[in-house]
Amino acid sequence: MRAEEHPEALIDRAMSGALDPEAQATLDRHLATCPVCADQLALAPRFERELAPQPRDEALDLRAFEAAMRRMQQSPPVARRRPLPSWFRWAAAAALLVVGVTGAAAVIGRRIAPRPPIPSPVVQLPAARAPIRPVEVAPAEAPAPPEPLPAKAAPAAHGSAQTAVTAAALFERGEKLRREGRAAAAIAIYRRLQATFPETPEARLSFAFAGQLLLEQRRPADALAQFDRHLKAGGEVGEEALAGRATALEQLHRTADAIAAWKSLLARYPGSVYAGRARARLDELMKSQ
Amino acid sequence: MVRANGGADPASKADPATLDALAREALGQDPEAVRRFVLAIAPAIRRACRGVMGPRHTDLEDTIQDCFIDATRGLPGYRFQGNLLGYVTKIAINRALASRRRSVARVRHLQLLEDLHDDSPLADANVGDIERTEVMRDLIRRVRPIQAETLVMRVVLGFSVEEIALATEVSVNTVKTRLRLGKKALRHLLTWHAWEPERKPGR
Repeated sequence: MRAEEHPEALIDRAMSGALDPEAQATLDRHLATCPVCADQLALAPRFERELAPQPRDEALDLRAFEAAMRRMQQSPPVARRRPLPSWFRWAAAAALLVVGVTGAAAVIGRRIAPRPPIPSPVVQLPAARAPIRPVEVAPAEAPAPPEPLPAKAAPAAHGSAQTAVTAAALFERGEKLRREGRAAAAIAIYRRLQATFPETPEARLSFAFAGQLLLEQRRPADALAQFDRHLKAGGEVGEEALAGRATALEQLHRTADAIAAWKSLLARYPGSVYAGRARARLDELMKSQ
Repeated sequence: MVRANGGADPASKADPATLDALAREALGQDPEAVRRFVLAIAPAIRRACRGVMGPRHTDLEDTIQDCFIDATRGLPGYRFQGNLLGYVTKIAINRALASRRRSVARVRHLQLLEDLHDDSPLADANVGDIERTEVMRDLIRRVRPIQAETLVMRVVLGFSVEEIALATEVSVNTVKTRLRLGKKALRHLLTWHAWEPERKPGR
């Protein structure tokens, strides 16, 4: 069994108490390395107790039903739009095709056409630091982007010794080092992961982890860069990265930017577990301004 | 459902043919038929909402109402080809996930305190388990929606892979892929969560 595969059938059998010793040993080996499956199995009785029928359920159903009926009567459903006639869809498809072909021809034409000489670079005076704009993150309710493909190993850069290295393996190594308190080594591994497998979910997450470690090492500028990359990549821990970003900006004494960052966190994730901290920090920073 | 330890699940014992018949009658908008249909699917909806939001969530009843409305209004679009209970469970999970996303932080700690001091059957449960189920719920709502839906069915409601495939009208392999990706994302989030409290006690 591959490490990323989860023995769902064995878990089901374990829940019904129908596992033979050999299957139990296989499952135990997986559970030792997979906290999600371990929690799934451990929390099942707890979830089931919560979901078991309660004496007040029927009354609750009736009350909810009556309220739902009242609401349905008060706001009738929006009339469904009539489907478009088929000729319209064909016409729209043809129009899209024409636009696509024309656009492609224009792009190809530009590539084939001789390029104008490159003007000599203009030396620019160093400008004042531009204000940091909040990083664009997809809203929580936005439709889901396509599911990511499994991490693929990038072509080996240094011979066969590196061919066995995967994004997951590097991430695990970084994790191990981080747990052992070897922050600098963990950061180095995360950076290697980011350079070698930039498009993988592990690399995305490593930006946030490295950012947090760098914050702890009082390297806020480096931390900020890592958090920004996590947010730009649409990583899984956006709330944490925004909180880390705001903290880094505070450590850099960029109060106005930090205020904007905390506000951005509150605007994007009003229900975040960091909302209380964001409000407290905003109060403090506003007073200090 | 595959869990053997959880006691009765009335939703799973409902006769699919009877439910389909009730649904067809409800399509005629006769209030009594709608009532019979809604009360027949209520256990499945309640179970899904409770599973996603937790039994003490302050918005639970409102969300159940929303689900009743969604299921009734969605009936004309149901093709009567799959599993009606799976269909309404899916509606309820997505509605409940949206509710939880909106209000998770507002109620989480309050809910936890209530659980610990209440004299309901939950009060004697292990405190660590209560917190872990809350953490699991909280992290699942942060996974991509299609994976969250699959994870709720599997981890919280205890559906088998085949039952999820039937409810969501996709292949078993698609369910397995969604589970694999969802569990991977969940694992990352769990790793982060395990780290956070160590660094910031009393966050």
